[in-house]
Amino acid sequence: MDLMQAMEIASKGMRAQGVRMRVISENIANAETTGKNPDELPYRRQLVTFKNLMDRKVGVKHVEVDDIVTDDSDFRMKYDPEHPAADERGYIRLPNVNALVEMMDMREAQRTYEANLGVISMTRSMLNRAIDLLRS
Amino acid sequence: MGQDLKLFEALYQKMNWQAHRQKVIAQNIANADTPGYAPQDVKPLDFKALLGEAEGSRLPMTGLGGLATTSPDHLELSGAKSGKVKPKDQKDVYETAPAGNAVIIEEQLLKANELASDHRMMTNIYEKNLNLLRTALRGSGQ
Repeated sequence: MDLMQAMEIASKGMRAQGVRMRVISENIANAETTGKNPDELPYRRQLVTFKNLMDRKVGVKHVEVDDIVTDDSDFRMKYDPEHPAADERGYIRLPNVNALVEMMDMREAQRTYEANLGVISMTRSMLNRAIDLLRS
Repeated sequence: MGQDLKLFEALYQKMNWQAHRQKVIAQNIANADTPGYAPQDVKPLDFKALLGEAEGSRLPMTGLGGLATTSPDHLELSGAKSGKVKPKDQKDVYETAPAGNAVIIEEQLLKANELASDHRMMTNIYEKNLNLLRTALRGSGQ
């Protein structure tokens, strides 16, 4: 049934955004995670990619988390000679996480999540209206 | 009398189509962040024509422009009557993101809202029509 499928698709969309939110929180939590010594690399930022996938069981295409990949951009450098991970010049490597970028990503995830939620409540009210026809 | 029942049939077709469109919109919104995804939509249903066929002409109901079945031996075109319209890529999109995604959540929600109020109207008409029939059946004695 189409309306049930619509709810299914929206819930899958919400789940995908949930995974994205988890990865973003991981990034923010590890924004200052450095290595113990100069050779150890700090935390690398992670990214979520989505794809539209056909679900043969339900017979609909829905969104799914494709992969969680790492961001290979350069690390931030900071002058801190006291730090155990500092190199001979006194610099430490910090994760390539930009809090501002993460915040923006989080907002986007939240917005899409809310839109999916809106679809579910709208579809539910449509279903209820149809069911109410039986009552009259 | 028979006309009233045909109105029910037309309402059924329309509501079926609405459910199908709601599914397509849900898919668009779920894929609002999928790279390279183009939003889809279904062809608008001509309810007037559906109703015209149902009420006025002597032609039999053909549903969504499917083949007319004038004899019980005729095979029904699969999908023609069940309201299964194939979704197509939406023609005019507001803008496309650098990742190739062209879904605008506001636009899709607007469509969903319009659809929901339209659906409300259809269920109301259905109910009213049912009450009309019921009044006719009850007669004057209540």
